[in-house]
Amino acid sequence: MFKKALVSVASVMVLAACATSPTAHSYKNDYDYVTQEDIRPMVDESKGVYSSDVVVSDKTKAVRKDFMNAVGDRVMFDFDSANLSADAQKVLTGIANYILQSGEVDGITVEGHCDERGTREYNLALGDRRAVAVKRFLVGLGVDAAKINTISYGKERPVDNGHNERAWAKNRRSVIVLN
Amino acid sequence: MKKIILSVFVCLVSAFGLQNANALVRIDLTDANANPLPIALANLAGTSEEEKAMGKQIKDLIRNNLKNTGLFRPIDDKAFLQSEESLQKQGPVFSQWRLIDTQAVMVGSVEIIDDGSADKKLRVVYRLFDVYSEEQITGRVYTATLKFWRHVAHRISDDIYKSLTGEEGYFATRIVFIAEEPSGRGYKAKKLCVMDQDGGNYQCLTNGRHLVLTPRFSPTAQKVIYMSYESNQPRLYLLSLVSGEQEILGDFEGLNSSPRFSPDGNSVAMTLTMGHAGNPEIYSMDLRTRKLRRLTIHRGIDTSPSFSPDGKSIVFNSDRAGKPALYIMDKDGNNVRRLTYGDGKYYAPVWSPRGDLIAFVKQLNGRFSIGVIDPQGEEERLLTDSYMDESPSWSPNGRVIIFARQKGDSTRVHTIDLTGYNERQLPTPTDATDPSWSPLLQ
Repeated sequence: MFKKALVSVASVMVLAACATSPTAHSYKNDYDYVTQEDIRPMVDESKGVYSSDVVVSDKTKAVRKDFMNAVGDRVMFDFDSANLSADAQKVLTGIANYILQSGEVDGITVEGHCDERGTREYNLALGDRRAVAVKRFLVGLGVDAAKINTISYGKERPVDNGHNERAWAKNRRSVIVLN
Repeated sequence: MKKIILSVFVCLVSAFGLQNANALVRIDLTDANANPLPIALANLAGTSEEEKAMGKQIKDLIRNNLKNTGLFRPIDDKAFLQSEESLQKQGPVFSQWRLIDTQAVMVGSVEIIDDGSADKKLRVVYRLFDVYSEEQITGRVYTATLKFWRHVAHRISDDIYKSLTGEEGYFATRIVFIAEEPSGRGYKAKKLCVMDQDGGNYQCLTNGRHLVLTPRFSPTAQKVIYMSYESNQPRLYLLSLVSGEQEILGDFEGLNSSPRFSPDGNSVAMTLTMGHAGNPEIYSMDLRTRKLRRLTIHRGIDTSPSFSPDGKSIVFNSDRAGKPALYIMDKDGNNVRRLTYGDGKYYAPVWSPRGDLIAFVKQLNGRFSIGVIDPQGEEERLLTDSYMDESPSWSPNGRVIIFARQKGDSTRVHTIDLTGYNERQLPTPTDATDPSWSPLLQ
């Protein structure tokens, strides 16, 4: 359950050999006596146990393109809200029908996103709420809940990097990604 | 695996001279309008060129630390009347220092010792004098491995700050934060990085391939807890700065965010949605047993917990009354009461290490501010105002707040004094967000 992020011994050795100046210190509480020690460089993620690169097959690419063209992949939200507007419900109804009718969709990931006008942690919570609101609506229309994964990105993945109302409105969104 | 341990010491060999409680020189930290205290910092003397250069480096770092507080006004070396040679031979001639209107003068020396071991040693002696009472305020000898000279300089800075303000300093501290760099993918690559509070010893611990957010130091500063998407899900990780090993903390379904250590370091408060998707709630985990305890039960958003320094209470962020506001509860989740009733929205509360105040982010009229309020919900004050100020974190002495300020496409880390004055941007090589201040390292 509590997985340890394993770091390959070899990579750590290599990194340690390369490390010249970086040091961190460990300190005892005794005011008169302080030890400091070098630490090994941290997790070498390039050789870590997790990988974020998902290879997308040509077939999946084709299905995704067809999905985009047929029903669209996102719905928008008002500021600080996870309520689904009439427009959003219409789009999601189309998406649900597509998923139910297409034999090609094995599962979907519903992403929740926010604009930059909120703090990081609150937006992560709000993004979760948005993604789950979309999931619940799709499940209500008959999509298998077990096929839907949700993930909040808060304000970390804007599609428009502007700093105005137009950009914020584009970023307050939930995106449905076919797995 | 061979562990590189350089067991080196900063030994306080002796503290000579008692601190004089009746010294004339004193700084009142609560007086925002006080003039900075004029202080003369002489180059630390040395015999060899290497020692002289090190003596100047250490003095310059101390000078920079003290100047940045806004509480001190280091006097230009060129104004000094007494020569370095004379200072070394006979100590400060106070009449000459009084003439240049300084109130305190630091003198000292540096010795670099090559004892044949892998690393050279450093020995620094310094004394701080009150120019008017002509008495020594503080004085110490530090020995350390030469490459840790910066830490020695920070320790001396802390000594001087403490002897003149009566409170602990915050120079021998580190900042953990998120560095932002262009990724070429439309959003910024984020790395987990640490540095000294003055920007020294900068080091990044992740390579920017995965989204990482909101790091916090453990109470001993030996561990960092942070959020990462490296498993393609938002999860919490506990990273040992000593061993370099990290472990995932729980791996619960849904959102895992907002990790905070309890003051004793034995538990972590966090925000989870498992079993109640779309409804973020606050939990605490006992790090020894890994047992979870749910603290909030409300359909609103509950997040951003922060322990009081006595560990008995938790302040948090919730929109349960219709808009984001701050609430306080007992550490077991009981006795929830609302803290903020003002206009606007409140976020990201952090309890001061002194216990007397809670810092927060406030959104009002399209602007964001860092503010403080007392735990009774009184005496709210806003310290900053900008397009976006967020992620406040306290200096260990509770006198300074570090935060992130977004300006256009760029976000940098700033500090501001509790008085609302002395706002400064910290030197970071790249954009930086999510700063968290370590305890005093001593």
